[in-house]
Amino acid sequence: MLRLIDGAFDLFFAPFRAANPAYGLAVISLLTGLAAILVFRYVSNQDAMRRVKNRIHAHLLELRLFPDQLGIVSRAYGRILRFTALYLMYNLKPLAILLLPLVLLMVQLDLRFGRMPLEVCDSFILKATLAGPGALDSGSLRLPKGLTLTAPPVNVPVQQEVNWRIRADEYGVFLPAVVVAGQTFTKRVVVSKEIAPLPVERAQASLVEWFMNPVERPLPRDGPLQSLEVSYAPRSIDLGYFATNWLVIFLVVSLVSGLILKFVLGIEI
Amino acid sequence: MTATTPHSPPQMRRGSAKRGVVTAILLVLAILLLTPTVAQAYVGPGAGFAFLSSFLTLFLAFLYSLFAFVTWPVRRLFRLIRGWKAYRRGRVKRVVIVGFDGLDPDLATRFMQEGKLPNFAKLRDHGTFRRLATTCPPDSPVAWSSFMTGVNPGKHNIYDFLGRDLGNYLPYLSSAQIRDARKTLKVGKYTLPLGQPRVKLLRKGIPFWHFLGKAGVFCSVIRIPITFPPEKFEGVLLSGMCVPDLQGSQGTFSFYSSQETTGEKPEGGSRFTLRRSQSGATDERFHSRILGPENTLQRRAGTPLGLDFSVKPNTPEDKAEIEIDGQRFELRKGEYSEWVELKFKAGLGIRIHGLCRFYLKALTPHLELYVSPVNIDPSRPALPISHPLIYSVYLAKLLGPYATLGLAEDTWGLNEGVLDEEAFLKQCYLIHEERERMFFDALEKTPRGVCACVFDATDRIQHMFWRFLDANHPAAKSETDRRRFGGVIEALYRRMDDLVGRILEQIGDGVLVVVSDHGFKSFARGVNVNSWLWQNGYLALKDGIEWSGEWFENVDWKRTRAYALGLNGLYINQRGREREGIVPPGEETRRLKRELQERLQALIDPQNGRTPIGRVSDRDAVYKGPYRENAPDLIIGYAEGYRTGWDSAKGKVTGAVLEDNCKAWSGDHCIDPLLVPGVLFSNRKLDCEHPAIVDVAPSMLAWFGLPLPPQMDGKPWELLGSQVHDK
Repeated sequence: MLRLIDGAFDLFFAPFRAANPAYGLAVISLLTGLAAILVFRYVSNQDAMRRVKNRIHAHLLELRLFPDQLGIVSRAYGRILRFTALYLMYNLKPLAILLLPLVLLMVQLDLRFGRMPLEVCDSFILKATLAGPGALDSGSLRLPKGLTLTAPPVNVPVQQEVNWRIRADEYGVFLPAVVVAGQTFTKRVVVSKEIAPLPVERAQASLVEWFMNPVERPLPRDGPLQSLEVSYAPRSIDLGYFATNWLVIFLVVSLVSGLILKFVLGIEI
Repeated sequence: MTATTPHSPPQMRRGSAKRGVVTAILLVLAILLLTPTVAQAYVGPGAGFAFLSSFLTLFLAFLYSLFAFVTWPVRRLFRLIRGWKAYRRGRVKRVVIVGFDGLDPDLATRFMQEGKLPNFAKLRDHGTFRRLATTCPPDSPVAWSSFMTGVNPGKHNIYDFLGRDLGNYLPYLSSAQIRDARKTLKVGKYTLPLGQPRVKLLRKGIPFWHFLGKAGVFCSVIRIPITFPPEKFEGVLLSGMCVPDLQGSQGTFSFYSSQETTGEKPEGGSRFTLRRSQSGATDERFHSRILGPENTLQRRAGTPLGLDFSVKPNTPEDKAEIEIDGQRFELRKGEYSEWVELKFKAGLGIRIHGLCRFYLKALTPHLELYVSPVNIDPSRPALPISHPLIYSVYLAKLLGPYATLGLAEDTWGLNEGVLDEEAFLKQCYLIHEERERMFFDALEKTPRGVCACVFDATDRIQHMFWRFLDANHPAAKSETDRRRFGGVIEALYRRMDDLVGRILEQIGDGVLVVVSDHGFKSFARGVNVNSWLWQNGYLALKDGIEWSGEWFENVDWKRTRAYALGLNGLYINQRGREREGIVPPGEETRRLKRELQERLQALIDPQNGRTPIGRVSDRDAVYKGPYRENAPDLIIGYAEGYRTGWDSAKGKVTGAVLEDNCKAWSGDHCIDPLLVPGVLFSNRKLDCEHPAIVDVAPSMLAWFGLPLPPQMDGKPWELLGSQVHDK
C-alpha cells in the first residue's frame, strides 16, 4: 500500500524531478490546500460553522459597540471563548479525516524535500547500530562500484555504533551491504542531482518505520542490526531571495491557497 | 446485550460497524499523536485553518481588550463626568420605549375590558393609560418625527411620505434623498464613483437621543421611522421606515408565473413570466430573473443588475426546488424560504449584496412564485442603515439576516392579490419575530439609558385586516373569510400584550413607556380630491381631455389653482412658488384657502348623506417653525370611514369624486387627527392630562435631568408613584 503511494508520488514528481524543488512543492501544496478545503466543504457542518463564526464575529463587534459597559464586555469575552471552543470542536471531524492522508503526504514530502541527495565526490557517513555489544571491521562492509571507503570504520561500543566514511564516485542508486553475524543488510544510497526519495534510516520493523520509510523494507525484528543510517545534508529550498525549509513553503502555500479557494468556492472554514 | 450476530438487525450491525470505524480512527489518531516527528508538528492546512481562525479571534479579542483596558479608565472617567449629572439629577436610570405603530386606544380599551390584554390592563390599573394626541396629519412619518424631536411638523419638515417638487410638481420621498457620489471617473465603459453615494436626511430637528448621548446617557434605538440615513450620536441606532430596497424604491415585490403575464404592472411590484426549459420529462425547470439595483458602474438606463434563477416544480410533493446564485433549496407550497443572500455583480469585482425571501404560491395550474423586495443586506450594507455602521452587521451576525426595508411588510403584495391573507400574516410575523429578537438584545445592552423600538406589525396588519372588523366594508369578502380572519386583529393585540408581559419581566426598576403614533379607523370610501377640484374648476386639464394619469399627467397648470398630492395635502398653485403658479400670494391665496376649506367641509357623500371631510386645516394655523413653507397649504382631515382616494393620492384625475375602497388596505388613520389618537401606557403613574406624542422627547430629557431645548413644543410628563412590577 505504502509502496503504491510512493510510486504515485514518484509519478507525480516525475515532471519536476530536474527542476527547482520549489515548483513541485508549490504544486503539491496548492493541491493539498484545495483538497483540505473540499474536505471541510463535504465533511464539516458548514451551517453550524458559519453560525458559530458569526457569533464570534458578533461578540467581537460587541466589544467595539459597548466598550464602556463592563458587564456586557465581560459576557462578550466569555462568549468569544465559548464559541471559539465550539468552533474548534466543529473542526475536529474534518481534521480527523485529513490527519492520516496528510501524515502520509508529509512523510513523502519529507523524503523528497527534507534532504539533499549526495553528489559525486561527496563524502558521507554510513552508520550501523548493532542490536547487541560488538564491533565491525572494514571487511563487514561491501561497497558496490561507485562508492569508495575513505577511512577505517569507527566503532563506538558504548552506543553499539559503527561508522564508515564513504565517498560517492558516480551518480546512481547504490546498495552498500553490511554483514553482521553472517547476515547481509543493505542500505539505499542515492547520488543524484534530481529530486528522489531519500530515507535516512532503515530500522527494525515497527509501525513507525512502516510509516516513515516506505521506500525500503524494514530490517528484521530481533535481528543483529538495529538500524542503518546515511547522513544526507538537510535541504534548503532556494526561493531567489532566501532559502528555507520545505515545511515553511508547504505551510504558507497550502494555507494561502486554501484561504483563497475558500472565498472562490464559498466554503466555510 | 451488545454483541452482534449474523442475525442481528441491520441497525445493530450498522451501529457495530460505525463503532468499529470510530475505534479505528481513534486508534490511528492515538498512534499518530503518540509518535510525533518534526514533520507532523504541522499537520496540514486543515489544522492551519482552525488554528488561524481561532487564534485570530482570540488575538483580536486580546488586542482589543488590551486597548480597552489601557484606555478604559480615561474613557470611563470622561463618561462618568458627563453621565454623572444626567444619572444623578435624573429620576430614572433606564427607560424602555416600545412603539406599536397604529395601536388603537378604542380597540385596546375594548380588549382590555374583555380581559384579553392582561398586561396592558395591569399597566392601565397600576400605571398609566391615556389617549395620546397625534400630529396633523396623523401619518407615521409625521408623528414619529414629532415623537423623536419633540417639535411640530413646522420644525421637523415632514408632512407626509411624499413632498412635491416645486419645479415640476412631481413627488419625492419627503424623508431622505439619495444621489450618486459627487465625483466620478470615467474609465472605458465604467463610471467609477469617487466617494460614497450621497444620502441626505430631509427631516429636520434633533432627536432626543442626541441630547441624551451628549450627556452620557446611552441610547439603543431600533427601527424608529424616519431615521434613514442614520445620524451620528453616542449610542446605537438601526434605521426604520423609509430605508429603501436595493432598487431604491420603498419596496418592489416580484411575482413570477408560468402563465404568460398580461395586463397592467401591479402597484408596488413587477410581474414576470417563468420560461420553461425542458431537457427531459423528469427535469422540467422554469427560469427567470430577479432584478436588483441599477448598475452605477455601467450606467445604461433601464438595465438594472439581475440574477437568474430556476425553479423545478415537484407537484406530487407540493414543493419546488429553487436554484439561484449557487444556492439550491427546497420550498414547500405556502411557505417562505429563509432569507436568501443575493450578490449582484456590478463589474470590476464589485458586488452589491441583498436579501430576499421566496414564497411558493402555487404549483398548479400554473407555477406561481412571489419574491419579496430585495432588502439591503445588513451584514454588507450597500447604504448606511445603522449607526455605527457596524451595528447592522453586529445584529446580522448575532441574530442572522433580517428585513431592513423600511416598509418591510408587503402590503402591496396583498393589495394586488399576489399574496393571500395567510401569506401576508406569515410575512408580518416573521419580521415581527426578528424585531423582537433585536429589541431584547438592545434591552440587554442598555442596562442604563434609553432603549426604544418601534414594532410595525400592528400598523400593517390593521391596515390590511380592518375590513374583517367592519361588516359593511366594501372590501369585506365572504362571511367565511370574515369568520376566518375576523380574529386576526384581536390576536395581534394579544400578541403585543404578551410582548409587553415579557418586557415587564425583564425591565426591573426601569420605566416602561408604550406609545403608538396614531389609532385606526375604517377606510371604506375614498375621496378623490383632485377629481373634485377638477369638477369644481380649481384644477384644469388640457383641452379636450377629461382625465389625468399619475402625477398630474394631463393637468394644465396655467389654469390650475389648487391640487392635491399625498395622503392629506392640498396645495395652492401659487405664483412665484410653483413653477407655473397662478394664484397670487397674500390675500388671494388666503381667500382661496378659506373657500376651499368651506366647500370641502360641506361636501356630502350622496351614497349615505354623510360628510366625508371633517375638517380642513390651514397650515398657518396648525404649524409654526422655519419649515412651514414646505407644508401643504391645507391639510384635509377626513371623517371616519373616509380617506383620500387611491387615485387622488397619486395625482390622478378621474370622473369619480367618491368611490368605494375595494382594496385589502381597508383600515387607515390619515384622517382628522382628533379621531385617531394613539395610546400611552406606562408602568409608572404619569401626571399628564392630555398627553401628546410630541411630549415624549421632552419627557425623556426631563426624566434624565437635562434642560429642555427652547425649540421643543412638547411638555414633559411628570413621573409619579412607584412602578408596576411583573411579579
